[in-house]
Amino acid sequence: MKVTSSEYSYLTSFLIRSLFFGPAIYSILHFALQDGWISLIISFILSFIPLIIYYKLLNHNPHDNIVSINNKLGTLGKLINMLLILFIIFHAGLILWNLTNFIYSQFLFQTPLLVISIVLAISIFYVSIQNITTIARTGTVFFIISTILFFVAAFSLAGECDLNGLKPVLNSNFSSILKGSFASLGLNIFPIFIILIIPKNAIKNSNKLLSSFFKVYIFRFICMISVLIICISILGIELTNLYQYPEYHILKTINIANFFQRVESILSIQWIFEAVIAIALCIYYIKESITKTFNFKNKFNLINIISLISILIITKYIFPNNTIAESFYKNIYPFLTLIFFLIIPFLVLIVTKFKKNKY
Amino acid sequence: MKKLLIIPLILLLTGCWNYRELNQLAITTGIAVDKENENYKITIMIANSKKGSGSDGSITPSAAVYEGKGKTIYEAFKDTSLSVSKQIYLSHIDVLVLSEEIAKNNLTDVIDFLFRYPQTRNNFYLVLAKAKKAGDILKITTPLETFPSQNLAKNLEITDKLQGFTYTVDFTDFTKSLVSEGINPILPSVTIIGNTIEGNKDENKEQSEPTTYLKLDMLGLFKGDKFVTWASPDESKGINIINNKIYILGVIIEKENKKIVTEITEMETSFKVENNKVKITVDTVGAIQEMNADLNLYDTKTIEKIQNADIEKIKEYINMAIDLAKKNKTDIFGFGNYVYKNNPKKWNEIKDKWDDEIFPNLEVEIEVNLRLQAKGSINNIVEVKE
Amino acid sequence: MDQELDKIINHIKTINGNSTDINVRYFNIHNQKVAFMFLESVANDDKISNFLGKSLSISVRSKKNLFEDLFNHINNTIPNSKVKIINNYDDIFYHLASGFTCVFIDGYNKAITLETKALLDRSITEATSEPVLKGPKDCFIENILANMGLIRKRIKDPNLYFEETKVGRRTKTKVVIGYIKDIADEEKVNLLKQKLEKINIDGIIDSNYIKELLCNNQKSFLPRVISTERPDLVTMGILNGKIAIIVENTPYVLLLPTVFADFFKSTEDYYTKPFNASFTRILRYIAFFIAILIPAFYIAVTTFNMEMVPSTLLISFSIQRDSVPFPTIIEVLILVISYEILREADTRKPQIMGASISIVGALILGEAAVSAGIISPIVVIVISISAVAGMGFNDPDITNAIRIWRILFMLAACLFGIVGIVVLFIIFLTKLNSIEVLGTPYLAPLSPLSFKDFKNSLTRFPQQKIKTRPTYFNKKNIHRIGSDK
Repeated sequence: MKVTSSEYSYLTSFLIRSLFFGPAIYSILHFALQDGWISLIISFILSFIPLIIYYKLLNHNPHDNIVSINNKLGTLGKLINMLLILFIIFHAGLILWNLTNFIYSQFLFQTPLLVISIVLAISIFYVSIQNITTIARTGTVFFIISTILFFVAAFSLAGECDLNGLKPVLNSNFSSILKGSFASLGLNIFPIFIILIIPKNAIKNSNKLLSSFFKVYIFRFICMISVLIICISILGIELTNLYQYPEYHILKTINIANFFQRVESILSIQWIFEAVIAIALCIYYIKESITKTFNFKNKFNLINIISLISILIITKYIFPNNTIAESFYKNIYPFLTLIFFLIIPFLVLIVTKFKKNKY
Repeated sequence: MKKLLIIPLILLLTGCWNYRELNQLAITTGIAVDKENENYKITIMIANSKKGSGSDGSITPSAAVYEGKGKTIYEAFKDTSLSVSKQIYLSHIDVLVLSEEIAKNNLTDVIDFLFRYPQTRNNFYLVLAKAKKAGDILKITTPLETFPSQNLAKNLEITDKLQGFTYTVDFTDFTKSLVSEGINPILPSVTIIGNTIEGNKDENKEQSEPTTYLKLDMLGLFKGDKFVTWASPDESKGINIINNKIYILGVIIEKENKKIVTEITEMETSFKVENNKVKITVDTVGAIQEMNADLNLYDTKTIEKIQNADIEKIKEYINMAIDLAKKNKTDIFGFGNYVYKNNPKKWNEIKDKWDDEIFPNLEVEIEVNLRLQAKGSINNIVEVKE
Repeated sequence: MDQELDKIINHIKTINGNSTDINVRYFNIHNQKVAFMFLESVANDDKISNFLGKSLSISVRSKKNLFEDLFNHINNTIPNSKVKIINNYDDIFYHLASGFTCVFIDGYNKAITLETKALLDRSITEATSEPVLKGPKDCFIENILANMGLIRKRIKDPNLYFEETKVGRRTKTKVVIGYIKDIADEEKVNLLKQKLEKINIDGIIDSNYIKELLCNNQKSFLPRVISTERPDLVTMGILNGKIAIIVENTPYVLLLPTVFADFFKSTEDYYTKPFNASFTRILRYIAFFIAILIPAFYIAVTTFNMEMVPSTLLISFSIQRDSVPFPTIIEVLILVISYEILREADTRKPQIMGASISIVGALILGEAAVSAGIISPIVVIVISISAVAGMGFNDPDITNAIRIWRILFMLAACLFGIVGIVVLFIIFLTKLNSIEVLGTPYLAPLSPLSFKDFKNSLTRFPQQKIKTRPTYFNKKNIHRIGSDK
C-alpha cells in the first residue's frame, strides 16, 4: 500500500484546508481585520518550524510512522498515542461539525443537524474503509476538482475585485495580526501532523517529496490568501465579518453576463470534498494507531465504525450554538492543536534523539 | 454495503425535511415594505400564479400580490403567508421597494431580516417609493414585462446604463456602504404616474398607451441608515460623476437659447482628500449628439468653445452635488472613506466630527479633462438654405 | 491406453455413449489391423479421403515398424496438417472433438492424430457492433486461429507471443493470451496466467464468461475489461502494452488491463484529425456525466436547491408542474423506467418491428404523457437529454453502468438535493479509485496524476506528439516514437 509523493502532498493540502473555510477565516479576520492576508503570510513563514519538526519525524526511521515512534517510548508512548487518538477524534468531530453547520445553515436548514452529519458520515465511512492508496487517489481527483472550481470562482470574481478595499494596510496592531497568524497556524498548519501516519517507506518516490510538497503547499497558501483578499476587497471587511460564511456569500455575487450566476452551490462542493477526505484521514490515523498500539485486529471495520460514531457524538453535543463554537475556534482550539500536534511530537522527537545518542 | 443501504431507506420513510415540490412554492419576486402606524406592512409579489392563459391553451405565469401586517418583519411575513396557499420562497427576489417612512426610521430592521434569512440572495435591487406607498408600486401592471417587479429591475439596469442620473444599488452595495467607514448610502427611487387604482387592473397592460406606469425618479440620500433628502436630476448627475458610476451622460449647454447636447461615453473620476481639501479629477470622452446652434463645426475654435462649456457644465453638476451633500451633512461620496483608507490614524481622530464639521467645510477643487472625439455621423450642422 | 484395437475403439465409443457422429473405418495394411476414427460432425470429408488414399499406398519395410512408417509416411505426404502421436484417452477425445482423425494400429498403445478439421466458421465480415466511418472494416470471427491471424497480420514482430491454455472442465475451450514480450509488463502477464489457471468452471461459452470470472468484485457496475470485435483496436492495445485474451468460438477479444478512459476512446479517433478526435473525446466525457447526473441534478434543483435556477426558468418550471399529481422523483422515475423498457424492447425485437416500437414510444412518452398531465414537458426534455447522452457509447457494459448510477444519483438527489449528489459522488469516485485491473489503477492517468498521459486520454494529440506509450500499463520500452531503447 504505497502512495506517491504528490498524492502525499495533496492529502496534506486537505488537512490544511479542512478547517480553513469557516473557523479559520472567522478567527483570522476577527483578529487581524483587513490585514488578515498579512497574518496568513506571517503564518506561512512561521509554519516552517512545525514543518521542520514533522519532516524530522518523517525521516527519523523510514519504516516507522509516528505511532510506532511513540510506541518505542514504552508505556509513556502508549499513553501519548492514546491521547493523540482521543484528540484526533475530537479534531475530526470539529471538522464534521463545521461542515454540518455550513450545510445546515445554507443548504438544508430544515433538516436536523444529526441527519446531515449521518449522511456525510456514510460517505466518510466509505472512504475510510479503503486502503491508503485508494484514499490518496481519491484525494488526487478531489484536489483536481477543487482546484478547477477554485480557479473558476477566482476568475469570475477577479473582475469585481477592488484592491483599494484592502486599505488601510497594517491598520490593526501587530499583536492582533500575530494572533491571526497563530489562529491560522493552529487551525490549518498543525493538523498536518496527522499525515505522519504514513511512514516514509510507504511513499513511492520519496526523493521528490519535498519539491512536490512545497509546490502544493505554496499553491494552497496562495489560494487561502486570495480567498481572503477577494472577500475583503469585494465585500469590505465589515460585511465580511458580518457573514457567517463569507467565502460562500462571495460566491453568490458571481454573475457573468447574466448567465453564469447562481453557481455558489456547485462551487462550494469543494469544501465537502476537502472535509470528507480530511476526516477519512483522521479515521485512518485512528485505525492505524489502534492496530499498532494495542495489536487490535480491525475486523468488520470495527474501529472505523466506533470512531465514526464517536465523531458523530462529538459533532452532535460539542457546541450548543455558533457563538460558542466561534469563540472556541478563535480562542481555545489553536492552543489545543499547539499542544497536541506540535509540542508533544516535538518532545517525542527530542526524547527519541536523546535515546538514540545514548545507545 | 448492503447494511449501509438501509440508512437511506429509513431516511426515505421518515420524510425529507427540506424537500419541497416546486408547485408548492410561492416564488416571490418582489417585496415592498410600508409602515402603517406601528405596524409593518409587507407586500409580496408571487410570480407563479397561473391566472393568465395563452392562445394555445398553455398557461402563462402572471403575478399576484399579497399583503400582511405585523409588529416585526417576521410577523408581517407570517401574516402574509396566512393568505397564501403556498410556501413563500424568497430566493428569487428581484427588487425590494421601501417606502419613505421606512427609509426615514426603520431601515435596519428590514435589512437585518433579509440578511439573516438563509434563502435570500444578495443581488436584488433596492429602490425607494417616492411620494407613494411602496406596496402600490408592485401592483402596477405593465405591458412590457410579465411581472412589475421584473419590469422595475430591468428598468433600473437599463437606465443605469443609458442615463446619467439614476443609480442601481443592490443589496450588497447598499449594506456595504451602510457598514463601511466614512461613506453613506444612496438609493434610487420610483414613482407612479397616473392613477394607482387604474394601474392595478389588467386592462392597464392591454392598452397600447398605459394610463398608469412606473417611472424612475430622483436619488435619495441617506445619512447613516436614515433617509435625509432627494437629489434633483442634475445633482444626481453630479453624484454619479463623483462616484464614478457614469456609463453615458448627456451634458446640455445653452447658448443664446440654442442648445448643444454632448454625450459623454467614457468617464473616469478620481479624487484625493488632503488637509480638508478635495481634489476631483475627471477624465472624459464625449461626442456631440444634438446641436441647434448656428456654429461652424469645421472651426477648431468652435470645438474648443463647446468643450470648455461642457467642462464648465460638468463642474457645475459636481458642485451642485457637493453643495447638496454638504447642506445635508452626509458624505455620500466616500471622501471620509478615502481618508480612512489612506490615513487611518488621522481618521480615528476626526471620524466623530467628520459628517457634521469637517465634511461640510471641505474645500473642493475640480479638474475636468474632456476630449470631444466625434461629431456624430455628420461633419457640420445641418444648414438650411432658402 | 490399451494395445488391442477393438478394446481401444470400444472404450472410446463407450466414453462417448456411442454418439452417432463417431465414425470408424477398418483397413488392413499388410495384414495389420488399422482403424481410422473421426467425428463426422467436426471433420472434413475431403481431407479424410485424401489422407486415406495416400496412407493405403504405404510401403512397409517390416511389420514391426508399421507405426513409425505410417507416421513418417503421413507426415511426409500430407504436409499441410498437424500430425501428432498421442497415448491417452483424454487427449484422443479432445482431438477427435477438435476435428482430428485418429489412426490406431493393432498392437500399439498409441495413436497418430492428424488434423482434418471442417470449416464450421463464417468468413470474416464487416464489424457490426462497433462500426467506424473510415478505417479497417474486418472483424473477429468464431475461429480462434483466424482471430490470431488477424492480429498477427498486423503485428509482424517476433516478440508478439501467443500462449494457449484450456479453460472449462467440459468444454476445454482454448484461451490464448497475446502480448508483445518486451512491451507488456511481465508481472501483469503472470498475474493473468495465474488468474486463468484458477478458473474452475464447466464451460466457457463466450469471452464474457472469462471477463466476468477475472473480475470478482463488480460493485462499481462499470466494465473493467474491453471486449471488442475490432482487430485494429486489439492491435493498438497490444502495442500499448495490453494483453489480449482470445477465446475459442467467440468473435469478441478481451483487452486487459483497461482503465476508465479507454471506454471513451474509439479506434476512429486515430483515423481522423487530432483536433476533431479530441473534441469528440471531450464530448464523450461530458456526455457520460450528463447521462449520469442530469436527472439527479434536475431533481435536486427543483426540490431542494431552487436558488440555482434563474427566476424566469424557475417560474416556468413551477407553472408546468402545477397539473402533475406525482412528486418529482416519481415523475422522473416513471419516465426513466419506461424509457429503459422501450430500449430493451427495441434491442430484443427483430429490426422489422423496431419502427412500431419507436412510434409507440415517441407518442406515449412524448406527447400523450404530457398532455394527459402525467409528466411535465421539462422532465421529458431532461430524460431525453440524459438518454441521448448515454447512447454515445458502444460498449453495452458502460451503458448499463450509466443506467444504474443514474437511478442511484436520482435517489440521492431526492433525499438531500445537491448534498446527496455530492455524497454519492464521493462514494462513486472512491469506488472507481479502489479498482485495480491487473495492478493498473482504474482512473489512470487522472489518479495517479500523470500529465504526460493526458495527451492520449482526455484529448488526442497528433501522432508525433504522443511520444510514449501509456505509462500506467508498463514501464519498459515506453517510447513509441523514435527508438525503443
